[in-house]
Amino acid sequence: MRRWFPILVLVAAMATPSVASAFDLPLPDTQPRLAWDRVPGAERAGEPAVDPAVTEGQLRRTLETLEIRRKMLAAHQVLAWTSAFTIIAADVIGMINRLALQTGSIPRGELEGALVAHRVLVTAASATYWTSGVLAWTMPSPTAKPQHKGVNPEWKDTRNTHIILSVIHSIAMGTVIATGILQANVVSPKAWEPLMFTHTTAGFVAAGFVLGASIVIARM
Amino acid sequence: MIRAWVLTWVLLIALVVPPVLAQTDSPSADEVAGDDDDSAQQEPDPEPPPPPPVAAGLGLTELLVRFGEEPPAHWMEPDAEQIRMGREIVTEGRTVGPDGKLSRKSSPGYVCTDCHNVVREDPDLRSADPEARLAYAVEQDLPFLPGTTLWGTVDRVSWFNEDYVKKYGELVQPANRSLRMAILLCSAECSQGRVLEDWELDAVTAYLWSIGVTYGDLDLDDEQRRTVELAAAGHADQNGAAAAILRDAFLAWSPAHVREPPADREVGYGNTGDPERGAEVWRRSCLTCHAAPVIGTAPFKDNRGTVAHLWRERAEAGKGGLYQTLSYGTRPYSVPLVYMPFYTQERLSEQQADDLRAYFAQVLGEEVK
Repeated sequence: MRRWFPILVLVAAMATPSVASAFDLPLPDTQPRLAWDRVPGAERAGEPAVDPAVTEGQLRRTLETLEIRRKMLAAHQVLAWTSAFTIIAADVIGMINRLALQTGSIPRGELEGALVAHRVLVTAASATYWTSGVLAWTMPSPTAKPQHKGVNPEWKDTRNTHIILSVIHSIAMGTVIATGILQANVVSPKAWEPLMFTHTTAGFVAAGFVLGASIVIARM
Repeated sequence: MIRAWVLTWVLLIALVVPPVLAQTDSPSADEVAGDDDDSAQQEPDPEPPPPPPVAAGLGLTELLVRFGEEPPAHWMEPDAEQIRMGREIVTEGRTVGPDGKLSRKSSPGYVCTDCHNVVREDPDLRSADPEARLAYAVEQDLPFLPGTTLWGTVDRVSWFNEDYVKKYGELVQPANRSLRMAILLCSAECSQGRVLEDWELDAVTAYLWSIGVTYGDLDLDDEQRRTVELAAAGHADQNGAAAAILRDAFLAWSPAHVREPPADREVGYGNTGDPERGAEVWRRSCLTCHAAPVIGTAPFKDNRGTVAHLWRERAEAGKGGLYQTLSYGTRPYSVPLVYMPFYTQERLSEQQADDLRAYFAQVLGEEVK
């Protein structure tokens, strides 16, 4: 058990970004809490206009925050999709390598290129994945944004499902990385096969759940 | 003593009676005698000359301010350069700014005129009637768009009215009472763009002032015109009445209510659709954004194939459904982020939605239930 403790710690640390949004974290100043004093369309004549000096600046800051959120969201999505497909590519190449090594059909020396390709893909997948996670964690929340169901009562809020899927794929991704590191350093042939199986499975689970989380949030 | 009393009374009578006689209608001795020398003084007064007409190009809000209303917060006297920059931002999304450099686009996906006309679009400025507006759009060859025209928006008193709060939440509250904030909201959120800089906001506001409602645009009868003209000529006692007439001649806000989809989307709202009007909705609304140049990710062709696709999905509750998207719009998709805005019931009526459906059915040779 003690052997696995560092891995569990590593997995938990890696999973943190994706679950962070599930907690009510103290928000920085980029999350303005609005306090407009008007009800739209209540009365149109005879009322003084809102105080432009106060509200125009406040509205500007809020809209700028939302603009930043929108850009971070777009980057998060692009990185997540890139990550998902890179993981799949790494999985496929990894499986080919595994078969080659198991059957011995290709000499180890000739596999070097494919092994390097797998490592490059894994590195790219990790970089895009965790960057995407950090963006999701740190992007401003849509404080002033409405609930879409305000206009469309049939609207389904899928954010919680998205978060649950994120937790799963982050654990899977952590497992992929941890087992990959262990594989690169493990010497016991007995442990090799279970590690390989876990590594491969976790890779597909990570990619699948990233794609699933994307699809789920797109339905929102 | 008696003589003194008599003398006093005679004097009093002599002083009082002549003026009293002069005020009576009885003809004077001269009139009776037919003396013409002073006839000009005795004729009844002629009608006062009519007040000078108000220049047709005078702005509605300018007149209201003259008649005592407070200038709105967005009041300004724009210069030609500001108007040019504002027009370019509205129609092209960017302009050469005061620093001589081309500005960034206000939105990667839209320009203002994708959703708003910049000319008059209602035959009756007192109402927001989509049926009358479509007929006027056909007559004037205008697009039939989801957003209210920017023409005359400076003369309104509120923006993002009623149900827009459901879409934009708290952000609507300051924008509801301030045109400048409405422009900011429209640029940054509605068009998924950026927050305009101060000079850009001034330029857009200046351009909007250049397309405000003028006195000549108002449909007033002779009596109303006379009241306004009297007030404009300096008869301050007419100011209140004139301002009320002007306010009544132009709808001061654009109503906006969500039109819910029909209970049964297969059969629509149950109106007998007019395919000819439906064709106008198709060309002036749908194809304005969905055909070249396409805004967004759903290109349409003006052909049977596209219509067949839309007909198949008319009852869908997702983003492809006809009634769904007309009522609720879509969320932003793709890069750059674009979405379909919803048509409020004041921008597209239930009848027009059914007209569109009837047009689709006609194209496909289907029998409309």
